[in-house]
Amino acid sequence: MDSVNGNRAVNVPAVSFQHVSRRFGSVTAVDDVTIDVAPGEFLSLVGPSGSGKTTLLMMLAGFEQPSAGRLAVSGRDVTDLAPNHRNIGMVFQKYALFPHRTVADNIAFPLRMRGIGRSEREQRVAEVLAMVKLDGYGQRMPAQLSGGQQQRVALARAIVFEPPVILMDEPLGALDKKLRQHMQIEIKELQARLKATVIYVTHDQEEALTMSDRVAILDHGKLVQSGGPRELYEAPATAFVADFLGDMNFLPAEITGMDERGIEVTVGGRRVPVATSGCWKDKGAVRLAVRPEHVTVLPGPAGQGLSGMVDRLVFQGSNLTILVSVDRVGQLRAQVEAQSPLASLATGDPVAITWAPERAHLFPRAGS
Amino acid sequence: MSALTSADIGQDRSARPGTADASEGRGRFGRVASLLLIAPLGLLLAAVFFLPIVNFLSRSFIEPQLTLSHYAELFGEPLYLRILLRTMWIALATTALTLVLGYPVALLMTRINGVAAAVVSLCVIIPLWTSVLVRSYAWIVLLQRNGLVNQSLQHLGIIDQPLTLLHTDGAVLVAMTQVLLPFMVLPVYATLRNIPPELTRAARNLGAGRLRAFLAVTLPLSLPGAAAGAVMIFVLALGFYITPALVGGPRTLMIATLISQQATELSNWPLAAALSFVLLVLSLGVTMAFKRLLGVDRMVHHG
Amino acid sequence: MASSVMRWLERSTTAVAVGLILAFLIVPTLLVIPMSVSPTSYLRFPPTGISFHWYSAYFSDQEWIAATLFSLKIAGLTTVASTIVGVMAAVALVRGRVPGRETIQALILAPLIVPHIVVAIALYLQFAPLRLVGTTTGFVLAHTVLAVPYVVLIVSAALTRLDQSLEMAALNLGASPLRAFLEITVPLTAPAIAAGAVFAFLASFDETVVSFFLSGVENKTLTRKLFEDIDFNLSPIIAAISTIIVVMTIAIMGLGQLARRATIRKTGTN
Repeated sequence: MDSVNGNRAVNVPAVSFQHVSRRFGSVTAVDDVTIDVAPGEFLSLVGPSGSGKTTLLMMLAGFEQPSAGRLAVSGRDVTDLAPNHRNIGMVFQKYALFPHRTVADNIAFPLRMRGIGRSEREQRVAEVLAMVKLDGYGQRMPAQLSGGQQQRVALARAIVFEPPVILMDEPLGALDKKLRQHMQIEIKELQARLKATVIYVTHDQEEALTMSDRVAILDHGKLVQSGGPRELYEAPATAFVADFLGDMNFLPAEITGMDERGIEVTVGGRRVPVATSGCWKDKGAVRLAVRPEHVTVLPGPAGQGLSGMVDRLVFQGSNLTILVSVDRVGQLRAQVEAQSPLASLATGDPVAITWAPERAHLFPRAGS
Repeated sequence: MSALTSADIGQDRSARPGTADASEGRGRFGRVASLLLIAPLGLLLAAVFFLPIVNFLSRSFIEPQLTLSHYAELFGEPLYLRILLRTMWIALATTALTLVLGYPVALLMTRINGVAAAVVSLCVIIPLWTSVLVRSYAWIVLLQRNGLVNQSLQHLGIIDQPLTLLHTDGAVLVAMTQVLLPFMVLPVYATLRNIPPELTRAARNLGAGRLRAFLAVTLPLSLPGAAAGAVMIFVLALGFYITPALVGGPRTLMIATLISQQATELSNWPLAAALSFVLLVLSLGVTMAFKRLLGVDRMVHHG
Repeated sequence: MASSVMRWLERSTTAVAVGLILAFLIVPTLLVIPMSVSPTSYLRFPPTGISFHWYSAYFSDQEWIAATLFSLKIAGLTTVASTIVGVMAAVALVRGRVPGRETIQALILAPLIVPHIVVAIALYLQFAPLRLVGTTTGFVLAHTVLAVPYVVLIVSAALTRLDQSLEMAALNLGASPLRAFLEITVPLTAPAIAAGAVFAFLASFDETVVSFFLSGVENKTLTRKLFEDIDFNLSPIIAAISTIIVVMTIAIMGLGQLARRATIRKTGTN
């Protein structure tokens, strides 16, 4: 059941999008996207709804025709190939199990379409059913299964014909939170076992970070940034990515000076630590972004950094969020462990705010 | 039997989510394949519907030569005008009667269930499925000189001599109302059923009495269904043939029976064509004007 | 107390009023049943007995039987023709790429809006020189035009309701478009196709106005013969035939309704 063409040259990507665009009338759903997916890689496409992630997937599956650009699977150009000749596995949003066929018939369908004989079909169906932990469910109808079980059947049907690539379009969207987390792990394990190449569409950034080798972020049809989950989280390329992945404080800031060692940034008139690698050439207004868990809160009046006042403490189980009003700036969130001594802070207490220089990101002020 | 043919179809119209994200994967059959699939029906309609109708209607303009004289005759002859006006009057009165009689039935249908609901549904559905011919025949039997109505009235001593009921405008009106009533009940029921019950509860909670809540919430929200029913019934009634022909008889012509008379008895094709053109303009005009209200899907049966 | 009495009064008044309206709907519809078993040629209350005389009269009358068989033949052929043509068109409209879709849809539904008297005369004039009046071909062509909108409406609705990702999944798994259509689309919309066929059958069998104009001396439909007899001699044979038609229609429509339910179950949310 190894679905990767192991003997292929490593440098041939499993999937390659080359300058792919898709326009619907005056709307550009996908705008000049170029990205390669390596064999065995788990790539997530994330973005808000309407960002073009599903359209990208539909083009790869052959249900949408790109307005421009080429698509290749394992080095073979598939741009003009009909969907039924692409040999790409797909798990649909609502599973798309054939309601009038048994589970076994559903899974055997792609094998039957490929002219595989009955005995081999039965054997392979039994194999994948075992793989998705549904042994003995072959004769059930899809409607007799729970949501999680249907999800597994859809998965089994997509892998049974050993496609080089498996596409998943928000496959866990219909499941409740607990089951979802469980299935995330299961899909990930299955993918690792098969060494399968997976392109996974989701609007849930947390899910993408948990499961992926690499995450590609789309906004308004454009590929904004792609990289490992940690890289994206820690070094977002744009304010959009910073905002989209995880939680982020945005503060109005100003570049007030620069020399060969770095730049000087002030927030609300006070100098703040910044170690940016970005090449900022001009003084002027920018946005400073820092994640709540990277904000350090020091009780007492500020000696350095920003000074503020505790608004409120919000208990969140393992964490505690401290809402701080910073003079002349606005409200800022700091996240600390629930057991932190800072839990004894009370509304109105004066605090100082700071952060490690490498934790602050600078982005252009919107509209400039 | 709580849900009904038309009501179901009515719902189908509102529940059409497929078209919203139809940009995804639409058009699996290419342009050529699509045209080939639709071609047989296109040819059939062109040859056996549109062409014959255009040919027929054009006779009102080109026989014996290019002329409007048939329209001059139509609008100049008081008899024809009277029939035209009577047709519109009967169609309008039928519409009003079906509204008055149909709305309460639809309202009741939303408030009952079980056996009662099944019985009421059957009372609406069975007539809808029953031939207009059969129902018109029943009205003749009821209304003729020695028919059931006269027999009963005499039996009860209300009248001495049998009344002339058949072949009157009243008979046509009553029979057409009965024939078309299901077309009002079903769309009204469909809209009433789709009004969330919370809305009425909210109105009651906010202090409205039962009547007030009905007038402020239920009635306005059910108007689209009533309007759809009304437009459909008016258009069907305008062109109604069977019931006026059988129950009305030769002295109470409506436009459809007049057209038939001109065609079959007098072979006056140009005038029949002119009358048909007027009828068609009226029917299509009303349909177009209220197109949004009218779920064509709801026309499940036709007189 | 007072208000509950008022409520009771209000309810019973409503019940009586609606009961009368329902009686108005159903009595003239089912009146043909007692008439058909009445031994006298006029319906009398109280009835004087039960007799199946009029049924045997119908079954032994060559003309009635010929008209019935002719109507059944026309309706059967119309059903086949309009189902094939209508399903094809519905597939093109819902799943295909058709320029001016809205306009085409409106044109297909036009036979439901144009008064039948206009269609009837137009077809008579068109068919007469072609010697199609009174022929099976003529009737089937005419009735197919009148019946096909029902098929298109019902099948289009079912196709629209059918989750498109099922067909996409079939393609994705390697089925050709034709195979996907036959293996997925057809089985899942079969009840709707059946329901469309039932409507088409009844649209033809029940059709009166066009049949009136297209019937010849030889080939008469049942509706045409009924129309004549109602107009001229009101024999209770009509009641017997009407009863047969009513019972048959209700049975067929009941089946059709079950089929429609089945599609909604099959193609609805899953």
